[in-house]
Amino acid sequence: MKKYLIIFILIPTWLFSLIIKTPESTSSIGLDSLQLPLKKITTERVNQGETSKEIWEGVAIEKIIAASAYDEIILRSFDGYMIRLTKKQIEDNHVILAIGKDGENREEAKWRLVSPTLREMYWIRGVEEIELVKQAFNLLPNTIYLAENYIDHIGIRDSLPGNGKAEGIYFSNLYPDVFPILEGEFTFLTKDGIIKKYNYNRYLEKAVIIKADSAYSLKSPDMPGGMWLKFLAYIQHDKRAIIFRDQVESWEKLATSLEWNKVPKNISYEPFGGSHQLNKLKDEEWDDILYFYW
Amino acid sequence: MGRHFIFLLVIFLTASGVFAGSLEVCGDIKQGVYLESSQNLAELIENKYPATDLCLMIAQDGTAVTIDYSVFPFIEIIMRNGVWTARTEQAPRVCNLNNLVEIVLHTPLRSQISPKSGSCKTPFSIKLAKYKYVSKSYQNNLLARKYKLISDKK
Repeated sequence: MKKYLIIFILIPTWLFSLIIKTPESTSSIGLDSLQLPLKKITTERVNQGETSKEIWEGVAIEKIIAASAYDEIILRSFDGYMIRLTKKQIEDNHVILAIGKDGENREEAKWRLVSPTLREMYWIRGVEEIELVKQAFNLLPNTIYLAENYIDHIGIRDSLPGNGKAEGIYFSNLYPDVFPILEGEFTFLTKDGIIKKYNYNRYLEKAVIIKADSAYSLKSPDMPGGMWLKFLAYIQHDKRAIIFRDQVESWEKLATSLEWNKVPKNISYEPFGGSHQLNKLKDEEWDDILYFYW
Repeated sequence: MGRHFIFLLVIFLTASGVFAGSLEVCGDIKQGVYLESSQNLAELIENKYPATDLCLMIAQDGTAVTIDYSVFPFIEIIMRNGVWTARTEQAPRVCNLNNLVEIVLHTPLRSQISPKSGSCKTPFSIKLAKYKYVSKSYQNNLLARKYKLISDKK
């Protein structure tokens, strides 16, 4: 109780307000109305070879949304940054919305997500909105295009307006073959296992897929730079997907990352037609395949 | 003159007979057809358009639903008293459409027609662009997207 009082005296608590969205309703809450215990966590960050230890104080995110049913949450900041966390990520990583650091109030009177175990790219500043999402599971796709072959097939662009001389394609060039429906959330997986979900209308309409060496990255003028993705490995929408084979170690690892309940054994492929065991196709055979299905 | 009239009459009667109780199947296919009797959707597609991987079913009231090929076997296209309906028990309930008027098919690799163009359109995409997304439904790991007509331009 004493701790509450100190915090309330030192900071204008009305600044720490949050919009909580559920499929049924939208509400706004303030720190003072939350009446939740403050929690301390310690983080270690390495910057230019030096490790710095920081003690953060804030409210456990689990407590804020405890009364609601959800599979995943989306956090949005005032500047358009957005991250998603699954229920498991929240449960496993001691995630708090911090208001103080090292015994002092943070300079900006806004929530910041902090966790001792989540990578810094998740530490979203200036959180204004939390959206609770149900049914966030990834469907097992039934059709997968091979990105390197498909981009070669439709023709890579020598330059993309707004991106200098970078080679690549517009995200919308994946329409209508790979993704005949450009609507709703697209799931992205990068080589190092980061999974992001971006809404097409909000973030991807003007996005580009840039090629550098043999890897591809996603950029969009509608996203803050921190949301851009390097080393794209996989993109999925509904039951259709495109895979960047050079960035994927194995089908089993991909299945684990995406929480598929199985890896398809036998596939059929196009455009020349044929079928084979997925794990037994040789590299030179993959070169002739634009997409496969099962 | 008389023979000409009879010829036109035969064409008119044939055409009206065919189209009155027929359901148009069109989209990314060389030649559309008119379905004349009840049939399972997967059977229709496997027999005539095996490359189809996505389908848009359109009802007269402006409701439309997209389904991918894993849903096709669970959709029965039924004609009763000159009225077409789509019926399913396993797939999401939004697939049960009354007064079905059109089935539009999507086939892959259509964009090879104009590989370098920034915006690539196909008969399927042109048709779908007339509809606004409403919701997504899952049932038995089967997915359907529901749409509503936003324009009556056809």
